Amino acid sequence: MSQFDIDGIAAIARLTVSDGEKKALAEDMAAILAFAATLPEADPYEEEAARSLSALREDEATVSDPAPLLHAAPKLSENAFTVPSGGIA
Amino acid sequence: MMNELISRDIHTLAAGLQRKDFSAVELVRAHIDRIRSREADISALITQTEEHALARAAEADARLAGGDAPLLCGIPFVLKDNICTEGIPTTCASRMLADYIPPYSATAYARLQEAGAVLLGKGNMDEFSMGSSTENSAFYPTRNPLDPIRVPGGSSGGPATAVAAGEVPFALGSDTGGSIRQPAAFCGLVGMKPTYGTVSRHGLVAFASSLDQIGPLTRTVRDNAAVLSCISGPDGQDDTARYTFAAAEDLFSGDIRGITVGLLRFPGDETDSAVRAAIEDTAAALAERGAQIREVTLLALKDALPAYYILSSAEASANLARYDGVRYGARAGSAGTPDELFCTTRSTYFGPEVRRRILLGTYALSAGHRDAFYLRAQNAARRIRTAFAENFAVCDCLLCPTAPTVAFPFREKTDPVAMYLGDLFTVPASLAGIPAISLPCGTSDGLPIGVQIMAAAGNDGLLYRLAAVIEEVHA
Repeated sequence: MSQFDIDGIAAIARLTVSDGEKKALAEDMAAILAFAATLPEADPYEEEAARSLSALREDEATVSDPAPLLHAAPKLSENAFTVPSGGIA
Repeated sequence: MMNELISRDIHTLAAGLQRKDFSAVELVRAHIDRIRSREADISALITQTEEHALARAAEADARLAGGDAPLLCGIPFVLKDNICTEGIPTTCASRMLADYIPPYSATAYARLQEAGAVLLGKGNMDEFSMGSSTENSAFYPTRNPLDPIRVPGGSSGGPATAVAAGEVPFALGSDTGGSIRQPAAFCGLVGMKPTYGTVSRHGLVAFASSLDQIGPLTRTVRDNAAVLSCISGPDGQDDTARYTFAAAEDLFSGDIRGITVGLLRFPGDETDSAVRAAIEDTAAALAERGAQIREVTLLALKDALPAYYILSSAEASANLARYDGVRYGARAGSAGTPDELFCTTRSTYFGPEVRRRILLGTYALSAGHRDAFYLRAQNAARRIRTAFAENFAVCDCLLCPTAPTVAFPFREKTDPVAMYLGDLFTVPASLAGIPAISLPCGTSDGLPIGVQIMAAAGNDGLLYRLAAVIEEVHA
């Protein structure tokens, strides 16, 4: 884990840290970040989720021309949430 | 007579009001007297609203005379001081908002007003809800009414203390990582964090918007369900408010036969032996009533605490960016450039814990660290939601302690990480958005122990059903 640059982060957060409190705050932040750094990297769950995402993208890619689908969409005046009686071609 | 009124539950008081045993004005006066006699010792409230309350109580009496008043009509209550109240200060226990008087009311408060309930004051809290002991209030700490050398829990410590001390029969708190449930456990109350999306967050000052949820603190399970029924439901001001909870009478039939209860073992759990024993006794009592108990370990929960502190701090750093002395909040005097004004204002008016979390959140979201912290925390939260979903396919609910210890003495936890570890049992339900309730299940050295029950999203009623049985066992 990289060193916690307290002045740099405080500037982004629009806070100022006095010299008197800098040491204690840096120690607190180091302890909190060490605690947070115990989080694991990707595991099988995430890999599976990533695979599902890829599959979805491939499915979408099989639609060669989306234009007919767009034109067949119900008009707003027909109630966009109801399929028209003739269905969507 | 007046002294008797201050320890009763909502349903008993409502019946007395309907029968005209006493008036709403008398009821409110009894609680004002109680506040006057107790506040010097416990400091539960930031703002008291006596005049407002007496006017509202008179209105409630007129409504009660009409004969069809709702259950909460004339019942006094306290709100955590991060719930906006039109014309009444809402400080978040922060010097940043010390002079803030909202021009509008939170939906949850408006619904209580419509029901005729009477606001008696605004409860102390950890500044912007960041803390677990109410020691982080910018104004003063609140003392546990059961033992004043100990904390009442947090961050809804003021509202919990007000109920436990007899100042009001119920209060609303907010829960981001356990801020209703843990003070309920420390003060011997029933505290409910409903399913995320059950109570509108409109008018709740944001800490971590994807986790924040308003809920009731009460003396009984039945009261808790009644208050949640009143404040729940969709709201045009908050698109995440989708669910309505209605407390059906059969929730309290005592029939829990066939319900599967998972006795949850946590990775890294160092719970006090007395607390652990009380939880196991509670599980045994539920088994005697016909519930099926099975032991459950969810390994994904080992990441809940670090994930919670990264995600909540990241959201807080964004939500609190608005307090810059220009758009919102107090302004530090004569700063030069706009940047100097922002920095001086925020450093002057935010307390140490708020600044610590803003720094942590800013760091976790900054370029170069986002993958190592924020995205890992998001993945951990996703794993926790999946683990709960898989568990709830075979188990109706989960049982565990609310906190690893009973209420601890002031200044015992000066190390921030030690304080965070106390939230081990409460943050998983927050990350998953599922409902969780805490209620008393025994004592250790005279201090209450809280048991927590969690269920799948939308199963808030099941929690009340089980909680009512536990309450009866320990009555």
